[in-house]
Order: sequence, then C-alpha cells, then structure tokens
Amino acid sequence: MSIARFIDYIPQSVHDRVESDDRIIGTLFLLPVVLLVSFVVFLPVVWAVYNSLFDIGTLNPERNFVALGNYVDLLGADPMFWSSLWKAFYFAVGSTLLQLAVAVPTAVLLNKELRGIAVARAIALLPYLIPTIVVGMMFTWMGHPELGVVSNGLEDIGLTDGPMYFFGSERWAMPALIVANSWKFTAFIVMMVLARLQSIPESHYEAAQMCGASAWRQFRDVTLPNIRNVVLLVLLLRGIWMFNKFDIIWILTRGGPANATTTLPVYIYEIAFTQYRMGTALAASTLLFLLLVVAGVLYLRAFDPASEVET
Amino acid sequence: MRSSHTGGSPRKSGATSEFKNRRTFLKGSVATVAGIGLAGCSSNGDGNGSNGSGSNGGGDEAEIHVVTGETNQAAKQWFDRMANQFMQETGIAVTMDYSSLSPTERISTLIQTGNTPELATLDTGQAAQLAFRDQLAGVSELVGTFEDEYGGDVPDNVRLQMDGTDYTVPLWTNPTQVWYWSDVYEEYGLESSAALTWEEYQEIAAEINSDDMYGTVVPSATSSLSSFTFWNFLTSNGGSVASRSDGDVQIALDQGDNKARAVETVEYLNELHEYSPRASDFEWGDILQSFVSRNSAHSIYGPRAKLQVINNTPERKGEVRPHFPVHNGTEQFINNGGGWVLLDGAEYKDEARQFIEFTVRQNRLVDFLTSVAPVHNFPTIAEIAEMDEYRNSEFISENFRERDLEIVQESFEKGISWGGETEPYNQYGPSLFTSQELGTLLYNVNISGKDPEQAVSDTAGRLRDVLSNLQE
Repeated sequence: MSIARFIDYIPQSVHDRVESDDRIIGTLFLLPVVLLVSFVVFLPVVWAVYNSLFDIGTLNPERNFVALGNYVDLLGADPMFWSSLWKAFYFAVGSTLLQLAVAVPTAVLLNKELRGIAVARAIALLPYLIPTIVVGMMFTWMGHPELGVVSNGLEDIGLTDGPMYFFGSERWAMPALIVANSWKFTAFIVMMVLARLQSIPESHYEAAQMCGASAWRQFRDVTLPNIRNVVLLVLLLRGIWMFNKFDIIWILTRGGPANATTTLPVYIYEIAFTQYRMGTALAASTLLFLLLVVAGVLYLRAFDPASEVET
Repeated sequence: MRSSHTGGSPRKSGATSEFKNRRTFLKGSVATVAGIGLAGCSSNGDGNGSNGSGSNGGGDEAEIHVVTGETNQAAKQWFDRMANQFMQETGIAVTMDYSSLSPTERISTLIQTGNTPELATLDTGQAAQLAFRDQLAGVSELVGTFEDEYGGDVPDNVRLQMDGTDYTVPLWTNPTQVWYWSDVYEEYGLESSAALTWEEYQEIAAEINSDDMYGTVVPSATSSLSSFTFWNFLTSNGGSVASRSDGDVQIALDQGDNKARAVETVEYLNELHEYSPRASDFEWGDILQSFVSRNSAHSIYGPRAKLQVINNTPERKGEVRPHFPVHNGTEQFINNGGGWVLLDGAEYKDEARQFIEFTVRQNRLVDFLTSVAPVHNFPTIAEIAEMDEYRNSEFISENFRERDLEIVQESFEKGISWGGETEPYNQYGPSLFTSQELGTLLYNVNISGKDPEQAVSDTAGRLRDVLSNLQE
C-alpha cells in the first residue's frame, strides 16, 4: 500500500488533531529562536532608545533623566551631527552606486558560459571573503603617498606630478574610502545578480535573437527587467549597510583628515568614546535608526522589491 | 562573584542601586531565555547562568580583574607571571583582561554592565578621564610604598594628582626625544649634540632633505601624534596651552606673550614642514614606519623609534641616536607615562592594592622595564635607572649606548606632563591633549594654508569649548 493510500484511510478527526499538534510543535520549535532574536535584537534597541532619554557618562554609571534633551542638543546645537549625517549619506550613496555600477556588468560577464568561468567567478567573489581589517591594511599600503603602488603608478604614467595623499587630503579621502569599501562589497551584489541571471531561461534570449534583437536590446529588454527587483533589493540592503558602515572608515581614516570622513556612525563612536557622552551617543544612534526605518519603509512602498520573491 | 557589592561614595549609591536593577532585569531576561528557550540544549537548568555570573552560594573568594592595553607578547608574559605568582603567594586569583581596543573603552563597558574591574594599566591621559568622573580610588600610599621600595622619589612630572591625591602608581614614563640616523649626519658632515637649537635642527633638516630622504617629519593631521608634536615644540619654546587664574584653569594659548610663542611655534613647524612628507594622515605607526624605512632622517617620538629599528633592521641599530631641539634656552619637552589605576567601584580594592604592591616589590618592576619596550618605557624613579639590574640587563646593555640612556634620562628629568604646565597640576591637561585640537591646528596651517595667528586663535576657542565641557 502506498503512503498516499494509507493516509486516505486515516479519519478526518485524526488529521485535524495531527495538524493541530504540528502547529503546536512548530510553534515550540520556533519559540527559542523568536525569544533569542527578541533578546539579542529587539531588547538592545528598546534599551538604547530608553537610555537616550538620560544623560549618561560613558565612564560613569550615573544617569540623569533629561527627556528629549539629548535630541534637542543634537538637532539644534550640534553642527557636527548634521555634517556627519551628510557625509554618511555621501558615503552610502557613493558606495552603493559604485558597487552597483561595477557589479551588474561583472555579473553579466560572469554569467556567460566561457572556458575557465568557474575560476573567474570564484576570483570575483574572493574580496568578500577577506576580513575588513586586511582590506583596510591593503588599501593603506596601496594608497600610501610615498610607497604606495597607486600613487607611484599614477606618477610614473604622468597623470600626477607628485605623491597623492588619498587618505590624507580632504578632497580625496572620501572618494578613496568609497573605492576601498566598494572593492570588498561589490562581490556581494555580483553574487545576488549572478544568481538571478542564472535563473533567466535561455529561451527568452533565443526568442529575442529570433526577433533580431541586438546584444544591447537583449540586455535592456530581457536581462534588465529580470534583475530589476534584485537590484532594488540590493540597493536597499547596501544603502542601509553602507549608511551604518564604521569599520573600514575607522581603519583607513578615523574620520579624518579634519573630519572629512566623519560619517554619523564614526561621530557616534566619537561622542561615546572620545567625549564620553553615552546618552547623547544613544540619541544619535536612535536618530540614525529612525532615519533608516523611515527610508526603508518609503523605499519598500515605492519599489516593492519583495515581489522578487513572488516572481 | 563580583556583582553582589559595589563600593563607592554615598552619592553614587542611588545610581548603583538603579544600575543593579538594570542588571537584575538583564539577568532575569537571560535566565528566562535560557530557561525557556534553551531548555535541554545548553543550560545547566539551575538558572544561575555560567562563567561565574551567578551566586557563589555564600563563599566569597576574591578575584582581581585587571584590564590592560599592553598586549604585546613580552607584556602578556609579565602580567601572566605576576598573576600566577600572586595567586601562589596569596591565594587570590587575578584575571587578566588584555584589551586590543583602547582600555578605557573596555573599562567603560565593564562599568556600564556593573562589572567594574579592580585594576587597569593606563597612560596618564586615560587615567585622567576616569579620575575626573570619580571612578578612581586614591593610591597615594601605594606611591609611597613604591618610592620606599626603590629609595627614590616619583617626580611630579609623571604623577596624576588631584587635590593632593595620587590616582596612578606611575610605573613607566615615555619622555620625548628626536631620534635621528647618525650615519646620514656623518654622510653630510653634520655634528649633533644632545640639545640642538631650533635653527640648527632646521638647517640639518634642510641639508639632508632630498629626493631619497625627507629631512624630518612634521605630523600635520587631526591626530594625537600631531597634537603631541605641537605641544612638545610649544613647551620647548617656553609656551603653554593652559594656565591658572585665581585657581581656575583657563586656556592660555592665545593670551599675552604665550600667543606670540604659540604663533612662533606654528610658524616654525610650518617652515620645517617644507622638509617633511605631507603627513596629513600620520599617526604613531606612520612616523615610525617613515623613520625605520629611512624615508625620513628624524622621528619625534621616544626610544620606540630605536626599538623598531632593532626589530626590523638590527644591523643598523647603532646608527640611531637621540637629541632634542631647544629654543631660547628652554630645554623642556613633554613626558607622558602610565601605570596602575585602582577603580573606585570595584569589589576587591584591598586585594587589588596588595597586587599593585606585589608587582612593584623585589625588582619585579625592573623585570617589566627591561622586557616591555625597554627604555621607551623608562623608569619613573631615577634610582631604578641607575640599578645594575636595569643598566646591565641583557637587552639594554646590548642595544643602548650609555650616552643614549643619559639623554633619555635627561629629557625625562626636564620634561613636564600634560598637566604640569600649571601649579597645582592641571587635571584637564590630558583631556586637552586627547581632544586633538592641537593636531588640527597643524593641519589647518600646514595643509590648509590658514594664517598661523588666526589658526591659533581659532584653536584656543575650540579648546575653551573642550575645557568648558570638562568643567561642567
């Protein structure tokens, strides 16, 4: 007797009971994870928001309730807050756009069935596996004005007439940071887009070719619509992650020179551990969090990248 | 167990109580999640958690928690050895907490989570941050013990004192010198004495400066190294950042004669910058790297420049020598230093005092000073530097000339601390240094091309804001 036939013989009441038991068991299995996530994600957020209403010294557990005082100070009397917010925006938009601009053509190239393509795909994804501290050290050395390969290379080919201070000049520090950061994280977008590209049926391209479509038209009318949602999703994710980025900025410039790369996360760190004002740092973190939530919700409403999952 | 008791003054008790409630809440949450969510997986089921965070059932075995940022191998070996020997001698456990981040960040985390450590090793600037916020216990009697042990005085220029109370036991000091490549001097036929005038130093830098090697390095970044450089040269010009008026600390950078000295210092460093890499992003590691790789002929720092050469190109170690530039007869630079601090909110303060005493007795400290960045970490008591165990220790006798040691000692004896500009000690001095505003001053003049006089005035204004925040 097959299993399907056997199940047919089981009375409906038993079916219902099993289904009900399944739900209970499923819930029980999920409960630890839900509790754990609540504890490690939800609770710290609530804790941070609550404590942003207090004046707390980083090196002192004393707390004085100041209501919205920390917020008023930040928004009304701290030009560095607005300046660092703008720099975070610059860094996030610059990084995301650069990563996208490099990742999409790379993914399209890697999608072709060429000899050695598996090796090329592995190499393209390699930067994502390198720890950020290593990437930071690598770019520090490559970007060194006296000894770095980039500065010397540009001078050798006559594009510059002296050392280039990538991370030591107000003009170049932010663009250099964006490039260093994008070098590592472009691989993430390549992975996402490549995965989507590989799910496009070959027949779509064959049909386009039969209609006489050029390579550009095939890209525009077949590839692009298919990867649109994944690109939108990636834009949201990368935008948020880049807005929150701290590690590579701290490793490469520590927010300098002259605060040229002090983005909001870097400034929050400085408030907490240089100025020792934990309450104010928590208020700035809360503002950053709210900003990203609002931007995320608006973005999801406008573009609905979740439909990617449904298509 | 470290959570059942927190010391401190009555003023703090309210906050501590509130704090305990937070901890209770967190502990309760952890227990709930562990009990409900992880039942049968990893909990031991007794709800007490692990890692000693729960009750110890009434027993109260002391355990000293020590935070240090000294994370190199030699330092770790010394601290581990001290902890083990102390445990064997007293039965009191010592937990070493090596923090690769700034130790004050680690301490702040521990304070905020109610696990205030007993001890830490901090430099004077970091210690001042804690002392300001009433987080340190006085250790004057331990400084006395330290002095008695070695038969000498701990000078004021390495002490952190507030209202006559010491808040550090200064174990080492990092006096400043300028280190140079003597073979390069010989190549150019240049002479050097222990103390060069500013003009002589500038002439030498100009002479050496070439496509192959910079004459010197003038760090010009928003960094502690640049702040350090400016403050050192300002000091050697007889100027000061702060002064006292009617007992109150005030910013003196743009006041009276002092402003002229500050402007002169900035202008001098701006001229010197002509023989330096741009250095607009230089921190401590960069200046060492520039010197060790012979990209520049000088390094303003301490003996660490020589230690780096010993590590990287030992065959050249004999070619690295110190001097210090002076101006208008002022032979004075800055001393930074570091040592033990005792956290006031810690549970086992008496045991921690015993541990401090243990580490400075019976030449154990000499062992530290001859193995952890020797000479760069210079003894704070002159008598230690004279001891046979110190002078004739293998590393020092093999690598440092007698004259080098004398110059280091001289610069230490003549040096002042960040807070030593005023009498009594300016407790805000270390914080004015860590604000990095003085480094920004060099950046603004040497990189952004701002007018020195205006830049000094602007910097003084920003330092007043820093000071006013500290005084609130």
